[in-house]
Parts: sequence; C-alpha cells; structure tokens
Amino acid sequence: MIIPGVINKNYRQDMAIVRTRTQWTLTVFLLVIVFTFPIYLNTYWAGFLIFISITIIAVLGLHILTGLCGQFSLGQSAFLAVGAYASAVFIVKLHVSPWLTLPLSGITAGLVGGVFGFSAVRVKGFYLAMATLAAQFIIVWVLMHWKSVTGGSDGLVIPSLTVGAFSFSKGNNLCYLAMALALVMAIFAKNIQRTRLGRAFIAIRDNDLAAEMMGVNLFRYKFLAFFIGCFYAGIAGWLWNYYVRSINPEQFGVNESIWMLGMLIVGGMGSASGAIMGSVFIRLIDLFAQYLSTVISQVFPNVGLAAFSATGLIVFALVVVLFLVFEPRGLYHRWEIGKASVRLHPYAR
Amino acid sequence: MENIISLLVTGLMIGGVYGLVALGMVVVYKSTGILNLMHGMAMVLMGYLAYALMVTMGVPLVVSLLVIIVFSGLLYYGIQWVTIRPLIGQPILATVMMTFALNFLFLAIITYQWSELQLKLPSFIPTGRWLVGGVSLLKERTVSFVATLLLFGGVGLFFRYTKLGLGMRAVADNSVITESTGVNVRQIFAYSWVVCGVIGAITAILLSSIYDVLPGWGVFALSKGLPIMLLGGLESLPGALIGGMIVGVAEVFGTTYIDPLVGGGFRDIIPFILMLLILLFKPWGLFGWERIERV
Repeated sequence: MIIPGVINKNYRQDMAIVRTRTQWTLTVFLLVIVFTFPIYLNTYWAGFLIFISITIIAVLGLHILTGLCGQFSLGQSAFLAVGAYASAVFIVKLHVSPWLTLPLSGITAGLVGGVFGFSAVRVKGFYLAMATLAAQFIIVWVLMHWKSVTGGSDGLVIPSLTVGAFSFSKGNNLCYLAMALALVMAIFAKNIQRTRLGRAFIAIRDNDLAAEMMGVNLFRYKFLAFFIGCFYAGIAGWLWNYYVRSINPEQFGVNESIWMLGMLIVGGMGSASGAIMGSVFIRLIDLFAQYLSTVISQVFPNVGLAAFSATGLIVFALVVVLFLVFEPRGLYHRWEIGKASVRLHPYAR
Repeated sequence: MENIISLLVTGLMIGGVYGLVALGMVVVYKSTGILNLMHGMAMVLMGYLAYALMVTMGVPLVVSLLVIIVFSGLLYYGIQWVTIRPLIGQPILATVMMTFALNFLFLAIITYQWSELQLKLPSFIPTGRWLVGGVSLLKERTVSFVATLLLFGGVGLFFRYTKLGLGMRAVADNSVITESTGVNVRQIFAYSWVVCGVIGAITAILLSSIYDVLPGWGVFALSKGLPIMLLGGLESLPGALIGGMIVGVAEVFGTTYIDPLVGGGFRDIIPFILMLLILLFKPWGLFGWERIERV
C-alpha cells in the first residue's frame, strides 16, 4: 500500500514491488515471523507448513498457466506426480544427487506438460480442459502400470535429504527448505507477470487471436506457459517426495487438481498473491473441516467414518460455490479493497 | 471371426449406454454452453434414491421410477436457478468449477447417507441371454441398448419438431439474436437443464439394471462421458451416440488384445487417448460445430 504523499520519481521506484521503508520493514518482519515458525511449532504443524508450501508452489504454477495465460488445466496434480516420480526415479534407480534432481524434476514435468500443451495450440476452452483432464488420467495410469520403473501401486521410497552431516528429515528442518523454495518460486511468479513473457501471456488470455495479430507467437508462448506452469508442479513434486517419503500414484488424484483450481479461484485469478492466499485459505478451511468432522462424528456416532471423507468435500464445495457467486474476483480483490479503504480512510467506506 | 463379431456387438452395446451418459451433458451444452460436470454424481444420487424408494420404503416399481425422473428434473431446475444462473457472463472456468463443486457436494451427501455402499437394485429387466445368429446377447444389455436408441431418437425428435426444441436450437446458435426475436432465453436455459435431469434419471435407471449402484459412477461419467462428448463434438446428439459406440468398441477390443501386453486396465484410458487423437486432427470433434472466431 502506497500512502498518499509518496511519489514515484523514477522508473525503478515505479516498478518496485516493495516501495517504501515501512513496507520493507513490514515485509522483513513478516518473513522473520514466518521463518521462525518451525522453531516453536510441533511436528504436526511444521508438516502442515510444508504441505502449504508445496501447495503454494503448485498453485503458483497453475496461476501462471491459468491465471495469466488463460489455459486452464485440470491436470496439475498429475504434473506434480511427474515431478515427484522423475526425481524419485533419478534418486532411487539412477543414484543422481537429490539436489541435481530439483531442476531435473521441474524440467521433466515441464516437458511432459508441454507435450500435452501441444494440443493447446489447436484447442481451447472446454476442449483444452478435457485435454488436460486426459493428461491427468493418462499420467496416473502410466505411473500405475509402468511397474519396472515406478513400482506400480506400491510406489517408491525416497531416502532422506542431507547436506554433509545436516539432515533435512530431522525435526522441522525440511520446513525451512520448503518455505524458502516457496518464497523463491513466489518471487519468480510475481516477476514473470511484469516481463515481456508475462505480458504476452496476459494478451493471450484476454484474446488469443488479437494477441497473434500483434505478433505474439501463440505456439511458442502457449508452450512456454505449459512448460513454466508444469515446471512449478515439478518442483512441488520434488518437495512432496521429501514430505511424504513414500510416494504412490494414488496421492495424485483428479480431485487434488480440482482443489488447486479451486484455490486459484478463491484466491483470485491472475495475481500471484491471490494464488498464495487461496492456497493458505483452502488448506486452513480443510483443517477446520477435519476438526468439524471429529465433532460431527462425536455428536452423531452413527455417521461415523463417512463424516471424515465427506465433510471436507462439503466445506470445499460450499466455499468455492459461495466465492463464485458472491466474490468471483477472490480474496485478493477483497484485500485490495481493504487496503484502498484504509488508505482513503475518512473518504471511503 | 465369430469372436470378433461378438466383441463388436458387446462393444456397441456398452458404447450405447456410454453415449447416453454423454447425451445429458450434450443437451445442456448445446443450449446453454455450460459443461455439466456434476451429471455423473447426480446420476449416482438418483440411483441411490431409487434404491431408497424401491427397497427401503417399498414403493412400487413404476411409481418410484416416475418419482425419480420427476425429482431429477426438479433438482436440475433448482440447481440451475440457484447456482448456474448467477454465473452467466463469468469465464467458463467458473461454471466448470461450480459443477465440479456440486459434484463433490453430491458425493458428500451420498457418503453421509449411504456410506458409499454398493447397492443392487431389484432387477426389472429380464436377465439371461438371447442367441441371435450365433451371437449370444445379454438380455439386460440388449434391452437397455434398445432403450438408449429410443431415447436418442426421442431427444432428436424433440429437438427437431417441438417448439421448445426449436427454441433450444436457436439459443444454441446465438442467444442474443434469439432473445431479440422474443424468445424467453432464461426459460429455455431452465428447460434444457430439466431435460438433462430427466435424461440423467433415465440413464441412472438403465445403468442400475446393468451395474451395481456405487459412487464410482461419478468418475465413470467423467472418464467416459466427457471424452465421448468431445470426441463426437460438444453440440452433436448423433456425435454422442457414435462417439459412445466408438469408445465402447475400442474398449472391448483394447481389453481383449492390448491388456495382455500392458498388464490390464487399458480400458480406463482408451477414451482419453481416442479423444486426444481426434482433437489433434479435428479440434471440434467429429460432428461438433466449427465456430469461426473474429477479434
């Protein structure tokens, strides 16, 4: 938020994301708070933080693909699976250094996404949604049936991540890594939309024919959008490996893909901050639903186990439906309104 | 040879029912431009309700079937009123997510009420086999296939000859121009959802005569109905039937000849592979409308 009286005098100031000294102080303060969470949180909550970080990375990828470029994908969780399996196979079968597989898993997922994205050049709208849904089903099927490499439904077990004597599987150590990765990816995502690439994406989203007339190479940029979006999913997949330590194809269902789209909608399409807000919000809501389901199963014992699987779905569905009907621009829009009303305090509601 | 013919017949019959799943979604897409992704789960709900009526409450067969069909139509009417109408003018992603959310909502209701039980409806279609020209036909499959063909014919005639059908076709072509000629577009929207609901209920009844009722149908509609719909073209009624039959035949042959090579389960992705292949060469599906876009 830029308070009245702060004037941009040059290009650098105009483009700055964090502009004033107050903003810097607040940002650093916030980061310090967030990054000291693992010190005083127990393992459960630290795990939850890792989970949120993974979600944020994957949803940021979806934000670039869907929110910026308008190519919506119902297969993000499958691309996450590609990243996870790529790094797992590199580590377990080929004994590549885990750190080297971080970019490798991103690139593999990106290339697989790009292959499915080829159809995006010819089809759009619902047809594209279904092409990516096809990717979801086909990828999970291949992971399930290519037993010699992926281990089929048994999956793969990943050894722990170490640097010298420092082990990331001990205590809450992985949490720092996850949050740092999420931060880096978020900065990238935030900056992509301010470059030529991002502007080309936005032009394609708004009207791809008009963009092509203006000299945006549709094939190249749609492919790039798929590559970058799935690259993010791949990085999230790498982190997922070390979060669960034992992966199998069932962790990457179609529902997870839809949840990610839901997070994007709840957060607000087309803004990186919105993607982050949406992921955190939906994950917290899901946590609340789990709590709710324990309460429900205590009050109505005959509902029993069904409550656990169903309550989360109901809450998620309701949240998405309510946002679509009442605030289709998402949490980010609310946040902007809040900031504006603080800035204009006596004059605006 | 005999084997191939019997595989072909089985495939066509399975495919007919698949086409029926796609039909309901095509009807809605044709006139409202909305992809109805909750269709499968709504069908499951109807299946469970049919069980509740017939077995738990002991309502006579014909009455309960009628009740299901009417209820399904009303449910779709209400749903489009409450959830789909506010989304007019929003990007298509909104409607996709909305129908997915409703899909989850139905799944949750089913999970709460029936704990995902697998239920067998009392059979109301003769079981057994007929032998026709050396090919043995399962009776319930044949009956539901014939019913599918009748339903397709009926919906086709409805679109071709009734005033409502004419209105739906007009809205599908261009809703703005249609509205300016004095057609109540909102009403047409609502009615096409009702038609979809009725078709969904009939599909659920026919499916429950072949398979047990279980929540897996929801995914089934997603993983079979949608590719079929795209394969045939989103707006095309014959496309749904023909696409369904192509997928059905491909599935049966895939199960027989390709499954031994890859270790089973190939039928799960055949519809998607076919769909991707066809979309590469005909981006609008086999019989879909090629829309010309202008900036």
